[in-house]
Order: sequence, then structure tokens, then C-alpha cells
Amino acid sequence: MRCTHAEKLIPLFAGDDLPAREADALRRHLKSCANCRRLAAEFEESRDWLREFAAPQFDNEVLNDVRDSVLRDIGRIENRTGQLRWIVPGWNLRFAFATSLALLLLGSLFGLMINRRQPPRDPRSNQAEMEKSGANQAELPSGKTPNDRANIDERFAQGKPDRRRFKRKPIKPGLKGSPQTEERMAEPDLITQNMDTGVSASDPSAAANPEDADMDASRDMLRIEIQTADPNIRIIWFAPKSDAAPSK
Amino acid sequence: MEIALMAEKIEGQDESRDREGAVAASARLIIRAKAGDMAAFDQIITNHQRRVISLAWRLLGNREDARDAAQETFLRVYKSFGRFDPAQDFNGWLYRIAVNVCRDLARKRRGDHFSLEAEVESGAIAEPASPHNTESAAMLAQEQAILMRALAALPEKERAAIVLRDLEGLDTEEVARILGSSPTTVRSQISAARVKIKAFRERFLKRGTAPRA
Repeated sequence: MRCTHAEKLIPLFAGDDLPAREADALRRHLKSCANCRRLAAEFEESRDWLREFAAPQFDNEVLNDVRDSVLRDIGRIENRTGQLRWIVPGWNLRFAFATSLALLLLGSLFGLMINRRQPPRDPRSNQAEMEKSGANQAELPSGKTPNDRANIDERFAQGKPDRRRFKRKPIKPGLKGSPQTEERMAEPDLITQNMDTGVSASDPSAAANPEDADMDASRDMLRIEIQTADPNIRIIWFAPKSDAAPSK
Repeated sequence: MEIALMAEKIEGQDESRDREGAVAASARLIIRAKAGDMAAFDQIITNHQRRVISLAWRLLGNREDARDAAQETFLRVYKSFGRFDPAQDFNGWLYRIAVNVCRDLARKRRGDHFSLEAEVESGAIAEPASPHNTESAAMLAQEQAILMRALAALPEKERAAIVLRDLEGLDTEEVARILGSSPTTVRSQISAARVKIKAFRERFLKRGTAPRA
């Protein structure tokens, strides 16, 4: 055995922690190597010095105090558990906790299942419903509503240009906060306009747009505008004149 | 000669019988405590608390923490008695709980708690008792201080391994079971701890001064 290897084994040898075979091999080496023998003696001396280190003597008063504290804490735990057992009689806390957790999970799963069972909305039937009832659709900035799209497609199919116009109703001059403006902003204005004639029903000041005359006369669509509280936002929709013609 | 040998044999048998009796009594006590007998649990505390508090002091380095750790150890024993199998070794189980409690307490109160002045005040470390023998008493106090610092300087796992092996006298396999490691790992930790303690001792004893607290 080499000294480099022996030096690694000596700390364990000093405490009888080496397996028997390795301990024998080291003993044989120590017989012939004075340096390693001295090192082993130093380790044994250090270990003996460590073992002389006794813990301080704790007197009976300290030990009784520890015991009493433990018994007091156990009494408190027992009282608390007893109170909770009154709430859930016959059960232990773990069982009660596990049961409530299981019920919560089951409830969540049940809720998810019910949610998934609801039939999905069919977009086509939705559109048909809206057409029937003449539902109002906000005209998006892009101008795409289902009705418009159908009409635009038809117009394109016929080779006619898209004649949609975003008509801004002119805002009457008035200071912010003036009674006129506030009155305008308080209620949205309902403007109906005949697509064919371009005449605004409620606002005679709005001039008929000559370009409206370019629109296909066969289409008899009612153009309905609602001015919102924000003067820059106006809702416009088209409805078949025969179905939904709001009062002018 | 033969009579002497026979007497020795009988004495040995008596001792082993006594030991077996003590083990059986301890097992009965544990079973009663497990069943909820508070008097039995009180007796268990009385039988083991000195050992637990000494171990805690060696691992933590001060009396207050050692008391808190001992208290917490027995509380955890009480709470987890339901899971304890009486066929297991109770001492090993108790040691495992005590080591874990000391580790948790040391982590909570991070910092060096080996205060030489505090331990001398509390009487844990011997002061020079007599003015006529101050030199040897002072040396003793100094050596104890060096030893405390050496233990404090060890990493947590090496400290636990060396305290259980060299100070509590448990064998390597038992130490490995308590620490939840393999015997090989424990041997390696013990070896490293012994090397460090030896180096520490040589450094400060040769200098003739105790390390600062």
C-alpha cells in the first residue's frame, strides 16, 4: 500500500470505521512506515480529545421545565383536536380534509362536464336568426356585417363597385359643455335613411348624397344610424325595408 | 477456576437477561404511549430527554436552542407516534427526529451561535474555579472553546455524522440510517470531519490562543 492511499484511510482507521480487509492492509503498511504511523497516532489523539468533550450537565430544573412544556403543548393540541372533532364528529382531521378536497374536485369536474355538454352555437343559424329579427349590427370600421358582406359579394359578382360610404353626420358647432352639445350627447340620435333616396328621416339638414342614387334601385334596404354619446362614434346598420322599418 | 468461569458466565447471562428485560420494558412503554397513555409518554420523555438535549447542544452549540430543540423533538414524536412501528428501533427513530429538528432550527436561526461568553456564563464551559489552579482550568476552557468552534466550522452533515459517531457512540450503519444516507457517504463525511477537526486543533493549540467567538 502506498502512503498516499494510506493517508486517506487513516482518519477512518483511527475510529475503527474501516472494513476488516482494508484495516488489515493498512496495519501491515503502518508496521513499515513511521510517517504514516505518526499520522495515525495524531488522528487517534484528536479523536480522544473530541470524545472528552462532554456536553454540559443540564440540571433537573431544566429537564422538568422541558417536560412540562412538552406536556402543556400536547394538552393544547388535544384540546384543539377535540374542538374540531366536535365539528366533524367521528372523523379525524386528515380524513375530513381529504373528503372536502375530493368533493371540491368532483364539483369542479361536474361543472366542467356540464359546460362542455352545452351545444355549440351554429354560426349559420345565428346569422339566420339575426336576419329574421332584423337585428342591429354595429358597423365595424371595416364595414363588414353579414348582410353587407352578402350584398358586397353580390355586387362584386355583378361587377358593380362597392358603394358603401361612411357618412358622418356633421356635428353642430357648440362649445363642449354647452346645452346643445350636452343634449346631443345625452341621447343617441336615431337616423334612418332610405338607401334608395338618400333622404335622412330625422335630420332634414343632412343632404342626400347623390352617390346613393348609384346604388342598385332593386335593393330596398333601410339604413339605420344611431349617434352614440361620443360624437365620433356612430352605429350604422342595414335592414330590409319590408321587415324592420323603424318609425321615421 | 471453573467456579470463577461459571460465575462470570452466570453474571453475563444475568446482564443479558437484564438487558433483554429493559428492552422488553421499553417496548411495552412505547406500545402504551402509542395507544394514548400519557403517563407512558411522560416516562419516555424522562428516559430520553437528557440524551436528546445533549445531542441538540452538540449540534446547535447553545443551551437555549438545545432546550427548544428537545421540546420540539418530543412534540414531533408525539404527533407522529401513530406512524411508528414498534418493531423498529425507537432510539434510532428518536435520533432521526432530533437531528432533523436541530437542522431545521439551525437553518431558521442562521448565524454562528457558538458564543463562548454566553456558554461560560451559563456554566456550560468550565471557568477557572480556583485561583490556585487557573492555568489548567483556563486551558480546559480554551480547549473546549476550540472544540466548539471546530464543530461549528463543519458543514451541517459532517457535524451530524461526527457527533453521532464519535460523541454519541453509534456505529456507522446506524448513523447512516438516522441521516438517511448510505454507510459509504457517512464514512466519507466522518473522515472529512476528523481531518478538519485535527487541523483546527493543531492550528489553535500550537498557537496557544483560542479562536475568537
